[in-house]
Amino acid sequence: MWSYVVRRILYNIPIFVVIIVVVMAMLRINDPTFAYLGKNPTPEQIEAKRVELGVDQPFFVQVWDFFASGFGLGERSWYAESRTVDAVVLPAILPSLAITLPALALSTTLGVCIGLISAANRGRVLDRALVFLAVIGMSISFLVFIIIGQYFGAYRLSEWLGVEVFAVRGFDLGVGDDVESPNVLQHIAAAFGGWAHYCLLPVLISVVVTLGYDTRFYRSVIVEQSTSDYIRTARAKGASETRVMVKHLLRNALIPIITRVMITLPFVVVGSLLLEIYFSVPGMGQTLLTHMTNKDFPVTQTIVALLAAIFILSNILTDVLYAIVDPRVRLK
Amino acid sequence: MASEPRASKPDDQPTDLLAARAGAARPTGFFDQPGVRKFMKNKPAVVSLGIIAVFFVAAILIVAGGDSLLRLAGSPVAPANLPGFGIKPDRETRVTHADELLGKVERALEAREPESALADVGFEQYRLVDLETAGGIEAIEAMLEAAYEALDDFDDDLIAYEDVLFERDDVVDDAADEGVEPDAEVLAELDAELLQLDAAVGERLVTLEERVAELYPRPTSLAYEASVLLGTDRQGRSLSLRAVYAIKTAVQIGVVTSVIAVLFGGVLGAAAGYFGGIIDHAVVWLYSTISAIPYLIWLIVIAFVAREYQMPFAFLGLEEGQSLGQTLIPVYAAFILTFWVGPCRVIRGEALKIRGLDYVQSAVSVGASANRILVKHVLPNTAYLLFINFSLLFVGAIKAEVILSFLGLGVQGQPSWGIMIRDSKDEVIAGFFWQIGTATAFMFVLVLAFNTVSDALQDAFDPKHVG
Repeated sequence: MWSYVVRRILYNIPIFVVIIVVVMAMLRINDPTFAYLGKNPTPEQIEAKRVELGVDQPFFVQVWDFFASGFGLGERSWYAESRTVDAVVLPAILPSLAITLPALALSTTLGVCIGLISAANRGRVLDRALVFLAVIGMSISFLVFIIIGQYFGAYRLSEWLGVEVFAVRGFDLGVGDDVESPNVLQHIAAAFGGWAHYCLLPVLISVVVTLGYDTRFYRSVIVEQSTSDYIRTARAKGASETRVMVKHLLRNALIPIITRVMITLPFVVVGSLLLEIYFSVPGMGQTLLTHMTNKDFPVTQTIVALLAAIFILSNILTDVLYAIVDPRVRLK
Repeated sequence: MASEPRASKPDDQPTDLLAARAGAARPTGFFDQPGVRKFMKNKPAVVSLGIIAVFFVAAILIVAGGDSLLRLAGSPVAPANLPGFGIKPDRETRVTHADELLGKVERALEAREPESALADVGFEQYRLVDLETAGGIEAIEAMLEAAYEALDDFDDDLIAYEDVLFERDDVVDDAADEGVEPDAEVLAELDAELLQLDAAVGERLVTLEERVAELYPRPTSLAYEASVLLGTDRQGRSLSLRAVYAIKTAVQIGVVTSVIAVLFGGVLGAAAGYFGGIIDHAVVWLYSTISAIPYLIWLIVIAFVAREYQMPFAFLGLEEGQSLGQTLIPVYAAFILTFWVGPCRVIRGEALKIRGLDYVQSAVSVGASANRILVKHVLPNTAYLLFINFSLLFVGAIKAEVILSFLGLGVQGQPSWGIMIRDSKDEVIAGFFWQIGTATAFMFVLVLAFNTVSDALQDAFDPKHVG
C-alpha cells in the first residue's frame, strides 16, 4: 500500500507544479506594481518597486523562487507588509475548519439518514415530498440562505430573546478568556461556547444549503444498492428491515459515500468562502479573496498550493479508504 | 402509377408488409423516440420546458428592446424602498418619502431658473404636477406651503403621542421600582389616550399624503403600475423592471457559457475517449489539473484577472486599451474555463463505451475516417449527455453568477439577480425583503425549471440514472 501511495504522490507532482505555474502566470497577466505605488509614480519608483516585489525577474525564476522558498511560506506578504506569508495563511486554517468540518459531518450524517428514509419509502408521498424539498433547496441561491439565515438567526433571534445567541460577525474561540484558574475542561467548555456563538449559525446555514444536494445523492446511491441481489438475499433469509438497511445496505453504500465526502473535503475549505465573508470569519476563503484582490501574489500562490496539496492528498486517501472499506479493492 | 403493377403482383406483398413493420418498429420522427416519449409523459418536465421557453422569449424581447430598457431599469421610478403590490410602508418611511418629495420641490423653487428646475422634479412617470395645470409657480409654492403645514401638524401630533407613550413607560417603570403592580386605571386611561392620538397621527399622515399627492399626481398608466408592482430598491429603481431585465443577463450568461463549455468539453471528451492513447492522457491530465483546486478558486482568479485585463488591440467591438471589467467577458471566461470539465469527463466515459460498439466497428470496417466517425457516430450518440450537461451547467452558471456578483467580480453595468441579491443585504437588516424576494423568486422559477428538466432528461435517456 505504501508503495502505491508513494507512486500516486509522484504521479501527482507534475499536476501540482502545473497548477502553481498556471496560477502564477495568470496572476502576472496584469502588472501588480501600480497597486503598490501612489499616484503618478516616476519611472525610477516603478523600477524600484518592481525589483522590490521581484516581478522584474524572468517568470521561471520567480516560479523557481516560489518552490525554493518552501512554497513561499517564508516570504513577506505584499499586502500585509509587516507579516510573512505563513503568519497570514496558517492562522486562517483553524477558523475555516471550525466551520467546514462540522458542517460536512453534520450534512453527511443527515443526508445519509434522510436518504435512507427516502429510499425506504421510495415512490410514496414521504419520498416524493423529500425529493421535492431537496430540489427546492437546490433552486435557491446560497447567498439568499446566508442573508436570510443571518437576519433571523443572528439579528432577530437576539432581539427576540434579549441575549445574543449567535454572533452577527467575528470569530473567537475565547480559550482561557473568561475562565479563572482554567483547567482543561473549562478550556474545552469555553472553546465550545465560543465556537457555538460564532460558528454554529454558519454551520447550520451551510448544512441547510448542502442538504438538498446530499440527500438526493445519497438517496440515489441507496436506491441503486437496494435493487441489487444481495439485498434480496438478505431479505429472503429473513433479516429484519433495519438490519438490511444498516448492516447490508449502508456498508455497501460506503464507497460512494466516502467518495463524495472526500471529494467535497477540499471544496469545503473554501466552499465556506461566502459564509466567511458574510460572518467576517478570518478563514482561508476570506484571506484568499482579500489578498488576491489586493494583488498580494505571495499569499495567493501559497493558498492555491495548499489547496492543491490538500486535494491531491485527499484523492489518495480516498483510494486507501476504499481498500480499507472494501476488501475487493486492491491498490496496485 | 407505381402502386398499380405492385398490386397486380401478389408475391410482392410480404415485402411490403415487412417494410411497413420495419417502419413501425424503427421510428424515425423525433417525437417517436422512446426517450423523447418518456420525457413528454413527464408533465412537470414539459411545464418546466414551457417556463424555460418563456424566459428565453423574454430574454430575446429584452434584447430587442435595446438600451432604452436598460436605462429605464437603472433610473428611479418612485421613492426608495417602496413595498410591492401597493402595500403601504410603515409610517416612518411614508413620512420620509413625503419629506423627500417636498424637499425636491423646495430645492427646485430655490434654483436660479425655477421653471426649468421644476420641470425636472420627479421620477420617470411619477412627476411634479405640470406648471400650467397647477397655475404657475405661485400655485406650486402655495401647495408646498400647505404640504409643509400638514407635515408640521403631523410632527406636533407625533410628539404628543410620544409624550404619552413616555408617560406610560414611566408609570410602568415606577411601579416596577416600587415592586407593585402598576395602577390599572391609570394605564387604561393612558392606553385609551394613546389609541386616540395614534388615530390622530394616522389622519395627519393621510392629510399630508393628500397634500403631497396634489403636487405629485399619482400616474395612472399601466407602465407605472407595472414598474412599482414589486416595489423599489434603495435608489428608487423598479424592482420588477430590474428583475425582468436580469432574465436577459441570466439567459445570456447561461447560454453562452453552457453552449461553449459543453461543446468544448464534449468534443475534447469524445476525442479522448475515442482515440485513446496520447490524446486521452493529455485530456485527462488537463482536466485533473483543473479540478485539482476547487472551481470557486478558478472562478475567482480568472474573473479577477480578466476584469483588469486591458485589450492590447481592438477586437470583437472592444477598443484598444479598454478594460474588460465593464463587459461580461470575465464572467464568460471564468465559467467556460472551469465548467467544461464536467461534460468532458462524462462524455469521455461514454465515448470509451461507444468505441467498442458494433456500429462504430462497422463504420471503421467500411473505411470511414476517424474524424467522420467522431462527428457522425460518437458525438450524436452522446447527444443526450450533452443536453443533460447543458441543463446542469446553465443552472451552475446562474448560481455562480450570484456568488461572483456578491464578491464584486461578476456582472457590471446591467441588472442581474446576483447584483439584486447582493444589494439587498443591507435592506434585509432593515427589514425590507422585496428586493431579495423578487430576485430569488425569478431565479427560483428558472433554476427549478432547469432542475426539473435535467432530472427528466436523465430519467428518460440515461439508463443508469436512478429515479
